[in-house]
Amino acid sequence: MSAALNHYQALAAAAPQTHAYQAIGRERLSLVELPNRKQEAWRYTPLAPVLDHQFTAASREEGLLEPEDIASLRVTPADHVCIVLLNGFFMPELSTLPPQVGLEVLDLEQAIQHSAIGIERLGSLSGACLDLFGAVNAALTGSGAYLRVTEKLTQPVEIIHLNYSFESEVLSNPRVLVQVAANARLNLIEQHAQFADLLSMSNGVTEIFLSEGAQLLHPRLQHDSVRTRHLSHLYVQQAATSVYKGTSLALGSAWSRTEFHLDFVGEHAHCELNGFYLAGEQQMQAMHLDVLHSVPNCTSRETFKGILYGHGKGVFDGNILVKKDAQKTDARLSNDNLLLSREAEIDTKPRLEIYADDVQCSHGTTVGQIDPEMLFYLRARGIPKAEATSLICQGFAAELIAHCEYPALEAKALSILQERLAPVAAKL
Amino acid sequence: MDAAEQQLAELAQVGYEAGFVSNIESETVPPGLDESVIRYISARKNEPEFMLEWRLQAYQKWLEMEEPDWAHLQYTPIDYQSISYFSAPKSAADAPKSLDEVDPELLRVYAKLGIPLEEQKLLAGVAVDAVFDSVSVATTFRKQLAEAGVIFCSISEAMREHPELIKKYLGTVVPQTDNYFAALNAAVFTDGTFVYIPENTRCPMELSTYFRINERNTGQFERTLIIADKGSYVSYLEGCTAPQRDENQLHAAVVELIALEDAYIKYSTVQNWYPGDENGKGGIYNFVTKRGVCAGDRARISWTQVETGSAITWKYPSCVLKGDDSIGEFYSVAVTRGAQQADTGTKMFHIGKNTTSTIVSKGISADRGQNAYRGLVRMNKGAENGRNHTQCDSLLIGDKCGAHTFPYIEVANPTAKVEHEATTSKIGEDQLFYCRQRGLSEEDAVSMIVNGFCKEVFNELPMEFAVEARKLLAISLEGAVG
Repeated sequence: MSAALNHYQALAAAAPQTHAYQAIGRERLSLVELPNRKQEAWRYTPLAPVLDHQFTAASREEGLLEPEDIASLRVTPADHVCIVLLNGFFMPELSTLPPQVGLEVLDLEQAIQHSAIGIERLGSLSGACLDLFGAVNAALTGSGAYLRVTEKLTQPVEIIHLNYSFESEVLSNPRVLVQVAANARLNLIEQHAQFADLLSMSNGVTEIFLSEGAQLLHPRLQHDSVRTRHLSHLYVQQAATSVYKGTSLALGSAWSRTEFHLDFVGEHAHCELNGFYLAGEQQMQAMHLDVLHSVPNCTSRETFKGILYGHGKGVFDGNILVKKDAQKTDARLSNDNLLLSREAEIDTKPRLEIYADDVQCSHGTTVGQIDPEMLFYLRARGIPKAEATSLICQGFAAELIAHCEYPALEAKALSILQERLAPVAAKL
Repeated sequence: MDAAEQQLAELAQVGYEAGFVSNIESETVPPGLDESVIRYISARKNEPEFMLEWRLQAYQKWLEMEEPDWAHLQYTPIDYQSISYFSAPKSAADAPKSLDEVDPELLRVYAKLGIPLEEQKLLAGVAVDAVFDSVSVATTFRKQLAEAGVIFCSISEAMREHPELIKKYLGTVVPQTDNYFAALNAAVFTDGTFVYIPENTRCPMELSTYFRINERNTGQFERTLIIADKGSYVSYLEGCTAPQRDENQLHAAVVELIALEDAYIKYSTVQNWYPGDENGKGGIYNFVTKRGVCAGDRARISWTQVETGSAITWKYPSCVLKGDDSIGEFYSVAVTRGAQQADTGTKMFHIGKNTTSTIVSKGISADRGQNAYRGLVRMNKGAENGRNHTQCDSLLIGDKCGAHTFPYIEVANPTAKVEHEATTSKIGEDQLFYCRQRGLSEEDAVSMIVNGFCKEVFNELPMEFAVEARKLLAISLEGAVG
């Protein structure tokens, strides 16, 4: 297995040096150990699908796609800001970048070169974790998106991630840095969209900084091809009275793992993390939460749901850590799972680690199948079994999808869901 | 608040009430562990040859194993070579035939702890197989039990008299190499209890063992094996308390339960070992492996534990639900205060069809106590219609303590239903206010609220134990609220 580690070290050494941050990644790569099932964070995540392939580092490929290709993927209106990251590289010719007051969008590479405001924050959150893929991202990332918001924006901003290349088995390392200034507001819609059925890997890192009173609405839809491997690390730091609402919908990929790392640094901040995962035939979907309450008076709500069918495997691993001084913390974590087939499996681990006494924390987990009474209710009203099953599943998911608060994205997610579930429901 | 702090400080000064060292001459092997120690133990116990081999196998495996470090516990590493692995009260050399022959010093120790054997003979119908350090010195009610066909004896005796049962069952639930501490136990266990309930027999009385750690610097390695044959029932009580001393004492017990078809084993524990001084110094290290298997259909195993003692508790009484329609239960109250740390919970392995498990865990942390619930519920592919409900609640008293929940849920069968809920909070101001309004002192109010919090678990305990547990809880939390 250390072949994989050597491989990544070699990739890092060969990567073109575009900025100093890469050196930190390279250094870290020499320190990390290969993730393995004995590590608590990787206990339930099968690693062979990512470690058995010798992915090659992506490079900037111009002229591969036309702006029209993007138009069909977008969920925001055509005149809104839309950033396209192709294999992790910022593509200005594919993106729509109308000037907007209070919004600064740059290629991350340029932002580093021009020492854009706050660029020194890059890696300050993700650097706290010493893990292989985080280090690989730091060492190999050549580009990415830099966003800085200083006003209350009314129009949403969309980021579309695409994995598409002439090469085979490409590894992309998208990196996004988002800063929302005091009392500013942003609705950031992210899509990991499917463009072609390729075996590739996406290893993304997003760092989000919310200043005092800042608000970020952050719906994300991952519907990569079912041959890709998808890993995203999401880091959020919240200052006082800021609000973060993130909803991640993981529908695609053969192997997908989303990690949320949330840290409160100011009081009276609120965070809402929602997630939905659909693991079908040969899919593995993992969600990892790491919510750190280190200051008093913050609230967080974490709601995750999953539907598993075929040989699908789901993993939920959530941890809420309330530090000694974080009095008056109110945190609620829930995870509900629906198993539709004999071969599907779910491993869930909702943890609470609490060192303060004046807190209210709870977590709840359920695993079950479709309630026969619900099915009976619908069938008694003349709805065929397959349709009734699909309806119940959609209802289960819709509750979560509605947290996106962006109808076009919700509709897209629901239609993918419906399409995926119809043949499954017919067979049940 | 000042007065409360003062009160707390005073209480911290109060010594452990059950802490004293009694001077009984005993034979002790010098500290250290190697094959010769194991050979000595085996020879001293007059064990059959197969047992020695079994022990040596375990020892070899143990040497290759690593001490687990995943638990949410912090303690100074254990030096296994500084522990003496055998200590037998001298008077045991020619074992007493009745209470009259028991060393009067021993009897006085029990009396100090409030466990007068004589009285117990008359009272409650409880037979006591008392373990004083490592050798069973007194067994009562043997006759009555023998009439019912029940075998209730020390495990050393069982090895000599019922080798066929030992050979068949020992190590089948907790194999020699199950984990680091179980392997150590398999190599060096010195005594313990053996129970066999024959087919269709309801054990005529509640069986009970009081554990006692006494000799300085001796670890205690108990091994308990309970077999409930088809259609039988037994309720087993285990309670412990230990004298005060300065060095940490390692306790690595193994308990194996086997319930065959339609059998029901109820295993209750009240654990009140010396928790150490206010810094945890001198407390017991309690690393216990307890597991039961519902081997037959409709078998049932119920674990109830009240854990108030020990500096370190590492304990996960588990159920392997092999038989169809079998039931596993786990009810636990764990209290940590001072510098106590507990990492405890359960594992429920659902293998058979229509298996059900219930987990109720109540953790109370005060002072600097750290209390973790760690549990696993596993529904295997074949666990058709498996059901589990888990509830773990934590109560925090004071701003320096911690309460943690680490549930693991693995489901591989779509017809299985698993529910888990956990809450953590402090005692509600409104509840306290309500009680105080009605004239209760703060202390009494807290005691009442905490007792209510634990009621679900106490209800599962046999009556005498429930009373003791309530008392223990009150003593454990005295002065914790201010």
